[in-house]
Amino acid sequence: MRKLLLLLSMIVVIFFISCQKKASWDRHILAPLLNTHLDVGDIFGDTNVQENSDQSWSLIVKQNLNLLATNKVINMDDTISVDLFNIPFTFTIPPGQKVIEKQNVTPLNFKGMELKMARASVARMKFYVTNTIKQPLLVNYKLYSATLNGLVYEITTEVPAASDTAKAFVVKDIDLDNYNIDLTGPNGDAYNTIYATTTVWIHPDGDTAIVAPTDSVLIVSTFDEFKPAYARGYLGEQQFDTRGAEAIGAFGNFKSGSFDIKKVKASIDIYNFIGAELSIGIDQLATKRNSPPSIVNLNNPIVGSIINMQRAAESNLAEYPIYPRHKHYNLTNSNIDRMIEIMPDSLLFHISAVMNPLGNISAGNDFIYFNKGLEANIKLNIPLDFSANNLLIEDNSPIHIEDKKVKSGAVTIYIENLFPFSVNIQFYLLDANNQIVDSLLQRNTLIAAGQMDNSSGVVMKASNARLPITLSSSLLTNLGLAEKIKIKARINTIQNQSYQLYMHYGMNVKIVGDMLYGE
Amino acid sequence: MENKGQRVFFTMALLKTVMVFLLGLFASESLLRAQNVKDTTLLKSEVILTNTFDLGSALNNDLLSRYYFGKSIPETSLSTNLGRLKTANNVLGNFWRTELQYKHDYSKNILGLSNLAYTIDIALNSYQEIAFTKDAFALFFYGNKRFEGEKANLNNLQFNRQTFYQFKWGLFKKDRPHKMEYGFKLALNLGAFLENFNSNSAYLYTDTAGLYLQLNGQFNELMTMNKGLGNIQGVGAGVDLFFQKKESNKYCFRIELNNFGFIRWNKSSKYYSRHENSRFDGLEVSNIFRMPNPLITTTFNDSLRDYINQWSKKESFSTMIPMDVLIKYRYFFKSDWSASFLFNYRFFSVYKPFYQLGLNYHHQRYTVGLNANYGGYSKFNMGIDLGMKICSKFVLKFKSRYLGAFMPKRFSGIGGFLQLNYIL
Repeated sequence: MRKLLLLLSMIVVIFFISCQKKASWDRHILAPLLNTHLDVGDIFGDTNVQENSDQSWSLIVKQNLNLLATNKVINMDDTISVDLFNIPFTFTIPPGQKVIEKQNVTPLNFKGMELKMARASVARMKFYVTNTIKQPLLVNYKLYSATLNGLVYEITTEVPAASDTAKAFVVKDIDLDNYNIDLTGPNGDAYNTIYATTTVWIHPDGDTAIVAPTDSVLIVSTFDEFKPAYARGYLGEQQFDTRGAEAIGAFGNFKSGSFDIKKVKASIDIYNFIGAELSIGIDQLATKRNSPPSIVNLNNPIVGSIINMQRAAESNLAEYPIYPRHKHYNLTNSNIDRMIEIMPDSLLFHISAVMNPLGNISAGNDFIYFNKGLEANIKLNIPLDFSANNLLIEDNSPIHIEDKKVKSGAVTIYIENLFPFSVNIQFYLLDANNQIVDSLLQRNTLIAAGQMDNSSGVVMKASNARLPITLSSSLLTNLGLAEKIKIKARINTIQNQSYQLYMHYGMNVKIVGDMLYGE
Repeated sequence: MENKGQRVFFTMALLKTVMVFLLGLFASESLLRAQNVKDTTLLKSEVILTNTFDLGSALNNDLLSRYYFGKSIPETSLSTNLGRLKTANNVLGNFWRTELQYKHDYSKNILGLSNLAYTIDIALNSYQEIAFTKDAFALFFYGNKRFEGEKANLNNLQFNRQTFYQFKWGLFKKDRPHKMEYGFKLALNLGAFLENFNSNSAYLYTDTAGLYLQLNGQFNELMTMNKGLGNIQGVGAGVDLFFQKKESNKYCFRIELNNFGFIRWNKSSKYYSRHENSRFDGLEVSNIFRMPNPLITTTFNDSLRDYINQWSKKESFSTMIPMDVLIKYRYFFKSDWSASFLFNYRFFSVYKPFYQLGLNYHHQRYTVGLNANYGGYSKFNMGIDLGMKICSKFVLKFKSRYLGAFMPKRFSGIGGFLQLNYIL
């Protein structure tokens, strides 16, 4: 369609390309302005409806709940090691000679966890060296626990000489992203332990240093940022309590009235992606509507009972590294239909969970991938056997009409309705304060329901409506001032009966302008 | 800038035409003495400065001036012009040529050969031409409402805009026993810019209720990357030929072929050619509850440029330059009166066959003529033909075929031919 506009404009440009200052005259334009189609997907959201094999529609609501935030699983101190080097007597050290070499075996505090291995997607260390010796130093830090592609992390840095009045110091940022960090210590039999060596020399370019007992070299290494990606070991016996809300988009446009949905199929699937046993209690699962406020709790045996989830397993496949444990619960025999009929805005949940309720039964072989924890997928399949009683769909769209060249004329809205419900529609112009300043139609206009074939109960023929809008001078002024256009559609099914919604149902809307346009 | 330049140029051309016209009408008799200017045959070496401006159209000057100068266009003006148009192939053209020429006379031998002359020319040629249908005019000025349920004919719309420089060198031979003269010129063409559009089998259909529009046709466009006069974006060659037979005070017959040549435009040029069959049902909005804002985010010109760029091929191509064939005949039925006929056909242009009949009075110091003409960029018109010997060294000639410019609601076109000869 855009092509035609472009080509027409090409002809206009080419017709009088050398148009100078804009001459003025009136043109009478008859053209379609806007063309749109409203179908079930537009009402409920395209991603929320699914076509069935019998060409009927089902409303599919899939809510993924993250029941356990994995960032709460691991806790650690920021500081890795603090090493203070000093010599208890005075002696001279020539340039290039080693001052000291020290092996650092540093236990880390993971607060109840006994980890053997960890990997971080983001790991930023800071390495501080403070020197009071009056000669420059060379410092080497080798972190044997951190390897990437088989190479140990190592840094060598120069530290300037101290002055008579001030210490010298150096700060280095260390990037350990994606390094494997072995936490089993130098002998491979420990946990939560990192292993490094620090070596200090008088700088080969310096002079002979006189080192007194008051001189020292202080080396501190800390984690500035640590986002774990993976950890293995014993994850500890931990308790979690999680409350959350997930937005539901399928009913966002519904403002008032009610509709009746039958034959809902609902289920919840719980997945444990953690390599540790979990004991879970679902304390609340509910739908919530904001306005008017309403909450409907799930009434099903799953609520209040304890669900024991076995540990996940590792697959050794890079793409899908986890075999999760899964439990499926059918919620069809519940009040899920009432939960949906309130046209909810969100799904609420309250979960309590215990990790490793039986202690360290894996002999330190728990694992966790921090992008996956404990998840629940709630799936609702609602055949759209639909009954609407004065159901109001409403939405605001921004509108900004700068073109003041339309002098007069009319706009006609052509509607073909193939839904089994009538629609009472109106378009309102809103000012910057969302106050209605005008309406496009003279009055609310009822668009009749499509014509139903009585034998099949399926609408086979559209009803047509033609809604003329006269572009009076006041309406043109208000169109220019309007900031938004509010579309209100009130829906009633035929005789308030329930009707299955089919794929071919929809509403074609075309707006045609017949306008005198001042160039 | 370009538009402003055109406006200034248009205004200057109008003023120039009026001034020269008045000068021609009211020049003092005392100035027009001594030498005969009726004989146009080359006698002496001379330097000639020629400026030709020709703006004509099937539309009248009233509409053109209102449009170009940005004034209000009343419905009466539109309806008058609509009535003047043919169903198809109406033209609007603007030709401008400025030329500086040196002519070496026949009196001196060249390479030992007698009766030879040569010329060296430098010229700037600029064409802006449009051919359009009556429906295209109505669509543009009246809108498409009047075509509801009908096809507006957009077939063979043409737009040609090109400017090129020429360097020419010519060699002429005079055959005195047979009273003949003939010769040729070789030209080096340097193309400044080109934009050429045309449509074939094109129409726009407007649905009776305006529910849809449909555009169908083949659309082609050639264009160079830059549009400025200072660019050289193409190089080519050409040739001019002429033959003349003349017997003093009896007759003169002359046939000319000018600008038989081409320009090869460079590789940055674009070529667009597509058959379009597009139906417009209104701006597509996938969800009425999610109106885009603003409805159209880019201007038509931006979108058009993007669209053409998307479907254009960048390649070098050649175009023929507008080529004129002129046949002139002048008959002297008294020693100081002559009648003339001129026919001009321009190939590779929307210019229509041009016919002119003239009557001239030849005085020793001046020539005055009137002519009736039809064709070219315009329709029927009247013109004048003036020439005067200003002094022993200078001859000024002025021609215009647009006396009707002073009756803007009845006639169309403006322009003139102004030539100053400096005799060496």
